[in-house]
Amino acid sequence: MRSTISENPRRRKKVRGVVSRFPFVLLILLFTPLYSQQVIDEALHPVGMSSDDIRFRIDESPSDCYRVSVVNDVMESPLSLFPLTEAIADRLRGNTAGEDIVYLSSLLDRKVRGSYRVSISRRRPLTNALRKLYSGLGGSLSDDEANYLWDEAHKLSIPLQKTLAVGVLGLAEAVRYRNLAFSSLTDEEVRFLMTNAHRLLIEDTTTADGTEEFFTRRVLWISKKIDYASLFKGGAVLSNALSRMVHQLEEQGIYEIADTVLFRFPTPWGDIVLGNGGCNDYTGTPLFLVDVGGDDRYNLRWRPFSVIIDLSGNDRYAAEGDFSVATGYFGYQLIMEKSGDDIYTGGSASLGCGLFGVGMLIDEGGKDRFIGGSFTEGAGAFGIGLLVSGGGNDEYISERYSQGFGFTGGAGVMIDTKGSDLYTVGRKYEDFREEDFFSCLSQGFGFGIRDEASGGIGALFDFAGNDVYVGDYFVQGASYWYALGILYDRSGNDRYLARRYSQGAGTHLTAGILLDREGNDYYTTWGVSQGCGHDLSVGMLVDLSGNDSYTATVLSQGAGNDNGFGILVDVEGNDIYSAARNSRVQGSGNKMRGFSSLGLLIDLSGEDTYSEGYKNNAIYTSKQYGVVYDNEIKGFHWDY
Amino acid sequence: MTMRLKVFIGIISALSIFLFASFVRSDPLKDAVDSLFAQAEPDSLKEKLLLLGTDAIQYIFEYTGVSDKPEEKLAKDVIVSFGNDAIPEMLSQLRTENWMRMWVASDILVEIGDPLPLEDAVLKERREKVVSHLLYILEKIARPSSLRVFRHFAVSGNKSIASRAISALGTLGDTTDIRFVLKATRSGSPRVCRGAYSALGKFARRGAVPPELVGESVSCLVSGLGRRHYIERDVAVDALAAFGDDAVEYLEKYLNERNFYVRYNIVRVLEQIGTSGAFEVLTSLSEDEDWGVRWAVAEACANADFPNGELLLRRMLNVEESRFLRTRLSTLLTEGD
Repeated sequence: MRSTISENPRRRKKVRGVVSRFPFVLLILLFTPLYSQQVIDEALHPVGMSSDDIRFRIDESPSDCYRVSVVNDVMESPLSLFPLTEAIADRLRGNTAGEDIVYLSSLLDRKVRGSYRVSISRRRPLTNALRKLYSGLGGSLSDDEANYLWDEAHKLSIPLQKTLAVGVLGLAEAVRYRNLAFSSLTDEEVRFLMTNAHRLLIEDTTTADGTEEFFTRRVLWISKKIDYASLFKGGAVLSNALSRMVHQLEEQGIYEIADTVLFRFPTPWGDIVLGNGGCNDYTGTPLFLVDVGGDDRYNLRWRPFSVIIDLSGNDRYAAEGDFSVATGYFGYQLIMEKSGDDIYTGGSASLGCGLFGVGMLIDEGGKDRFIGGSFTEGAGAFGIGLLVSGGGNDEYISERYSQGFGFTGGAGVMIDTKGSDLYTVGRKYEDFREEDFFSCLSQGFGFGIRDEASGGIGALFDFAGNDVYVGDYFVQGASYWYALGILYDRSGNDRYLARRYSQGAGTHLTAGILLDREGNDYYTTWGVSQGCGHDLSVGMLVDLSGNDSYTATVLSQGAGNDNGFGILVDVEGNDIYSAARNSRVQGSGNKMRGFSSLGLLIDLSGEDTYSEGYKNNAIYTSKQYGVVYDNEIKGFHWDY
Repeated sequence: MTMRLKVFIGIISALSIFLFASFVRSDPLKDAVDSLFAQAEPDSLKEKLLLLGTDAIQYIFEYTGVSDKPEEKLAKDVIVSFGNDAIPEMLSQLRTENWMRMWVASDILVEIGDPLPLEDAVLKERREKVVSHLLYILEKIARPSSLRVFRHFAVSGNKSIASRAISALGTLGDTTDIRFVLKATRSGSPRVCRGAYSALGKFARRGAVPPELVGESVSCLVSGLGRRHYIERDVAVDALAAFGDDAVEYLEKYLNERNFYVRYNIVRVLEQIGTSGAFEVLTSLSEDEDWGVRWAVAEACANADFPNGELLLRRMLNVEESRFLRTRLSTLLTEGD
């Protein structure tokens, strides 16, 4: 049955008049999708509101140089969060890592301009590329080194030299951009950042003497001077060059020829290695390594620049301390695994994280396992962290600030394209609010420093499979302080388990969304979750299809608190909404600062069950403002 | 880089290191505070901390917080006990602009309750966040001496500050300010209007609106009922409700207002007023052409204790066309039974 959108008598008369005169208009009306604005307007009409009211004034708190325009846009028009999430997911699906970096830079308002392709020289391509890399790193090739390099390079065919030169030149260009990015900082400032920046995220260094504020403010003040567009461009150039190089290697059939080390050249910044189809143990961190096969073991330490391309085999990566294994820390690290069942074990700041740099971990196939500490698995702060995994049922384990975590000045994105995956986070940093539950800030979480600096963009995209997400506090499409947190799951029957401030939740002037497109899903949490906006924030949970089950205890399932907007939209399926009775759930708001909040629960089809006793095909309202809108609507289309 | 510049940078770096070193150095008073808090004898802790003198306040403050732990409460109590001697340190905590410190310091200053040093401080203050907190504190303390401060900031170019100050004028309830507040309701800034609506409500709650200004006040607030954003509408509803029955006769004039929000929110005002006079007007709105307004009437009948509320609900159910509202009316009537 088509919705009764024209409850308004004036509008109804007008529609009748038009239809009687022009019968074809009726046909058009029948096939026109019902737009979300109309649905939301109808849902809000009984509380004297309209979709126009769902907006914040972004001047509630003074802005700062880290506020990203996409966050401002969402705060000004919270309902745009859904199409924005769809748009970001569409852009990131099927992109190369280089394109992802360019796109994420633009989302952070640090647009990468100009070409990000490298051009190799025709004469002595590899030697010239290495000379450029040396020069960027602050050294120069000695005559002996040049002769040795000449001899080694001659062992390779010209096409292979050219192919390697593309990757090396990409790294050389990235080094140049990295140097450009930090060129406005004094050596002392860079040292200060390197010594103290990690205190913001890696360690628990809360002190009672105010030193923490001192460090935080100095870090923020210095980091303003970094040229982030150049920093991100370096990441884009590097990953683009490496994708091109890998493509050429595959075309040249490198798998068949490489049963010995084909090329090895030591530099003060790590070795440059090509080869060996056997099982190798690599210790330390290479500057540039291409391994064509075999089950390899990598024990890695931090270096500002490192590239590892492993074309096949079941490999194991282990971090020797923090800041290693695909960690962009004042530089770039990239690991690209083409196939195999791999295991990555990182400490804190690892596995595709960027802190004043760009870190990328791309694993294109196999059943993989990722184990990290804090600030890991697609985490970015003043930089970009990217973890992309394709194929296989993967397992992700971490402690905090992970699995799509974006802090101030950064974006952390995690993309899993296939397989039924398990995401778990926690078990280390107990939350002060509750014993035996943990502060996680992960699985699509954006985070800022309250009253100091706006947050970044944290996003987790899972495009297929029956996935399980497990966390406690601040997880699964949530954010804090002028940030954006996104958890997007395209298909599969998924399970979301959390405790608080999760599953489409915004806490303190911010925006978070959990968007699940398909499947019979199961959501469970304790509170302040499942479409909950707290303190001038928007939290949105949108589930487009499937028979879903939502379980919570308090302040959830479309709950607005302290002038927040909490919105839960379930478009299709027979759903069950279960919660503790009369505990501010299922369309609930309250009043603070003299005005209301909004909690909105919209269910657009199916036979649904509400623990609050609501019936199907009805609207329920409560003061200040709570709305449950259950209606049968076909052809729903989100139009913001 | 010239040699002079290098020397200059060197001096600045050395100074920063020295300042930082002195900042984090060990202090016997700090150690004393730390050791007292480490002891598990809360009964005598307060007295012992007070004996350390006002220089210890900065260290005691580090044990305060916003999570309601007993230790935090104790630290706050101790600082409040220092009275006015704690004010300079609390002001410096406000100036850190750290949200948690500002909240705690604000609470302490409200509890100490002396507005005079704060009034002097706010007039010299330039930072928006600090001014805003000080205005909040002074409004909570609510002493007539703060009027000059509120009047000063009520005309500020910073709309957020002006709004807070205008709203505070209502808290103090000096009738000479009403005309200024009425003028402010016509401001182009929604934020200033919000402050003015709130102030009018506060004046009304104190019974401080002269009879000759009630009509004008209601008229200004009715324009607030129809504003574009719900924040202003919400504040205007509460303010109008504060006028009670005095507002009802004026509200009747607006029942045919074209703006849906005005009619809808008049229902909310009448619900809060809750008198028989309000119910009469509500009855006329039960036949409003818009189902949203009729919905509000139904909710008002159910929520407020109108003697004939149920009767009106039944009458509405008999003629209601909207299926949503019919369901709602049935539910409300069933719940009433």
